[in-house]
Amino acid sequence: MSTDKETGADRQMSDGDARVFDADEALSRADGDRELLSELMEMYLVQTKMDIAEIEAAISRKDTKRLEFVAHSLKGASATLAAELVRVQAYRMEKIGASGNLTEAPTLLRQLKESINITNELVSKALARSRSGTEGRP
Amino acid sequence: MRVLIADDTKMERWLLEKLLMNLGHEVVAAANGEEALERFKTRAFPMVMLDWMMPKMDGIETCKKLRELGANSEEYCYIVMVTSKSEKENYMEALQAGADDFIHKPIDKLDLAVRIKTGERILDFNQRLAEKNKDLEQLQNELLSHNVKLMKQVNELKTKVCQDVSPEASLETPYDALSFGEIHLIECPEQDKERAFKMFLEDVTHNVPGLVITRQNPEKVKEKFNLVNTEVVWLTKGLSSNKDGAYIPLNILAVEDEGSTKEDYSKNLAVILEIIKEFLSKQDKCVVMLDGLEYLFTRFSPQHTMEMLYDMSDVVKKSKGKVFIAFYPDTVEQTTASILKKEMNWVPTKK
Repeated sequence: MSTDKETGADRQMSDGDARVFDADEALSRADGDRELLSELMEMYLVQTKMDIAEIEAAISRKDTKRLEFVAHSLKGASATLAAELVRVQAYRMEKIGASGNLTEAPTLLRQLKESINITNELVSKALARSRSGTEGRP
Repeated sequence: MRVLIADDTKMERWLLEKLLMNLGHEVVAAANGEEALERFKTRAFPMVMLDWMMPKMDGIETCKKLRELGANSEEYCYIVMVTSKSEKENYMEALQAGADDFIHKPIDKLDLAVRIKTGERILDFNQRLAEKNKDLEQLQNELLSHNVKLMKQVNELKTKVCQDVSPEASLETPYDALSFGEIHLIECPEQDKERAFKMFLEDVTHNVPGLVITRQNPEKVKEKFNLVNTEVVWLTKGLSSNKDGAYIPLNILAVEDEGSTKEDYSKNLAVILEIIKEFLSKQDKCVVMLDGLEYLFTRFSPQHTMEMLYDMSDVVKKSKGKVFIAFYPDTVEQTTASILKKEMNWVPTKK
């Protein structure tokens, strides 16, 4: 995990964090537009909360179609923000939904919740830095 | 360029919209396929980008509907499917639905610019093609109009020629049209059985020496058509009357003689050809009237008659004469009639 005390404003996260959420890659995908990246991060924080709640509800309802659909959407959003850990787990959840076999869904749901928490913490920090104007300045 | 995008995931839609705007495009965003379709109905877009998985109406369905909407439109809509890797196996389905290209998520700006450029190029080709088609259509219309005018002029000229050559003649085919060196198969309908004779007379009255081969009594034929300058061969009696009217027995078996056999008939065909050949070789410009084709077909074998006609065609082509064959519809078997029409100069009546 990264700390706020790391050196270099452009590189605020460790390599391990980058595998969870790669801020540089996310900025590149936002065409180098920090303002746009901030908007995307805000959206991601909201969407992940909504998506994980929907995924949980779909599993308890055994609604595999909905599970596949929401997991697909979460996977796409995570890929856009270079949030690799959530993307990979969302993809596995999508596959579970597509297969119709929910045996492994509860375990994966717990992992996914944890991953979203970790990712969102990193995203929130990055967002805070961006809002405070320290991101990207020498 | 105006681009319509459809994606149910807000942040992905937002990113795509911003990237496209950064590339200088005008963007309209829809949250699903249904909404995209409604936007398109209000105003068509040259380019549409559709997310594959969407609620209400997915990308494939939206693509199909868009193609249906644009089916009668002159302006082409370039459709790009926005996909994740897992949807790759369904590319063929998307192509069949009408998609033109694909772009993977997460979207890379450079990749997006390339797809758009490709789309613009295709749209440009399409636009130029549409313009060329329009030009061609206009040219075609002009040509058609010219053709109508020309046909009118040709018909006027034909009428004038007919009147000039023979004011009393009511023939559909002008006199000059039936050239020498050919066999002309003249349709003689029920209401105008003597059509071939009339054409023959056109030549004879212009001082062209004539030969008639007929089943009818030569005396009656001569009298009926007031024939001058013409020899007549009586097909069924094996006699020929010369210009002076005297009958000359031919080296031909009268086909209705008792005891005649099919073999004799075949020999007779050779004699008929020989008579025509001799006549053509003696004359410069001349005309032969063969009346009784159906009789030849029934009395002699159709195969032998056709062979004789082919031989006759070769003879006529080498000569300066022409042959008119009176053709009465329904008297000759249809397949044979088709062959004759194809092989000879078919002169039908106007319908």
